[in-house]
Amino acid sequence: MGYDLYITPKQFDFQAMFDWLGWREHYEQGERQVRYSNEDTGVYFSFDFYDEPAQEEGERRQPYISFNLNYNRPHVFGLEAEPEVAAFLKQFESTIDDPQMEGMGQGPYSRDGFLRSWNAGNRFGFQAAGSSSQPPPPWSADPALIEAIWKWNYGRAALQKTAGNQVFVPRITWFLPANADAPVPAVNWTERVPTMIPEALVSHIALVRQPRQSLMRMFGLSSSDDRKFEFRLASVKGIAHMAGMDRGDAHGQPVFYTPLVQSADMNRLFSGAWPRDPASFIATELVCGADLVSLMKR
Amino acid sequence: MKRLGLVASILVLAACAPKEEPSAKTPPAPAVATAPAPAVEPAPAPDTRVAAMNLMCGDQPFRVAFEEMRAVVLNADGSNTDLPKLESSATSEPGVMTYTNGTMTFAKSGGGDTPTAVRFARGRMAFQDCAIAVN
Repeated sequence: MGYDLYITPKQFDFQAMFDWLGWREHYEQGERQVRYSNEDTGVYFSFDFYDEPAQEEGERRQPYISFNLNYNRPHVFGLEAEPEVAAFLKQFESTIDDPQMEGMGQGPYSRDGFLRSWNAGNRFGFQAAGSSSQPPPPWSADPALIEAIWKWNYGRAALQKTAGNQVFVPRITWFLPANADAPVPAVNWTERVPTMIPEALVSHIALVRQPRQSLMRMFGLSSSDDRKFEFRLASVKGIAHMAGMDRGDAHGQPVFYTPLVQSADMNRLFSGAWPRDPASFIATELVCGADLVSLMKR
Repeated sequence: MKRLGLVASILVLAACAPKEEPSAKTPPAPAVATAPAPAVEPAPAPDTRVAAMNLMCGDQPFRVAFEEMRAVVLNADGSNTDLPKLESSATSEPGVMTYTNGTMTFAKSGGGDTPTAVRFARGRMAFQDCAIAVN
């Protein structure tokens, strides 16, 4: 179930459009499809090319492109998709058809019109999922927090470029701690790696280290460890004010920086035996605004 | 359809290990070039489809993109340093790829199903293990 925007370019130069999208960041080309997928934000959508006019009465008579964005997604999917659609329409003069219930119809295209149309369909998608026998299980969170996290992740690569090689800018991800009933936002801090941490956006820090070799394992008395990394979750409050953390701002968010050389207290954070599966990762698309999730309740 | 659902986070940590993107992809260069070549060629920009890793080697932080035939060090001043990959020889350590310009050397092993390990040496000094930032 998703949103479709039909785009009919004045001149259907498949290769030019296909290549133009393909050169943009986060796109991958398929056979007749160009797919956007942003690893930092988890947002994805696609443009499908139909260069043979439909034969059926009432169908499209000219080659067209179908932009598709799924429903039942956090509202930030629309926010990230809109500039991409707008950029395409700016580059290739086109007419549009947005047949959704609050859609833009035959146009003209506008940012507000796109967001109104997709958000209306998305809300409908949540309502419909709520009335089905087995609704999908999105997690609920404050929509403002979801948007702030998305903004951080959306700008993360640019921020890393600005920060250079002195500090690592991590993406924010959602973890479901073992025995918890709600996911928490966290960033990774890899042992010894100076890391920028947006303290107001995360409640936890995932401490990451290379697997420790136990004596038993070194002598072949226990099975080898197949994990690439070990991690455990720690509250950001317990770490943010440790001696040695520098403070600053980035993208309008207060941040602190873990130091180049870790203190003994910090080394202790990374020591000892850690549980094997302290938390599960929750995909971004499964954490939706409380306003949307509430629509599922019958 | 990319519906990930719940996955054990350690797998995800492994899967997402440092995949960091440089900015916008670079379109192909135009065919016409009229300006004379500079005396010293700057290192070409890294392939933007290859993720740059944040590394901490001893007390020295680096961002490095390991490509098929070279490693590109992204310097703090915005310049790049190109480290060609050494051809493997009879004396090469198995499974280890070495990238060097004679001044800086990175040795990378693992990847795929096994943990990635990176070591760094400056000049003829001993190798140090690098911590790899996990995202």
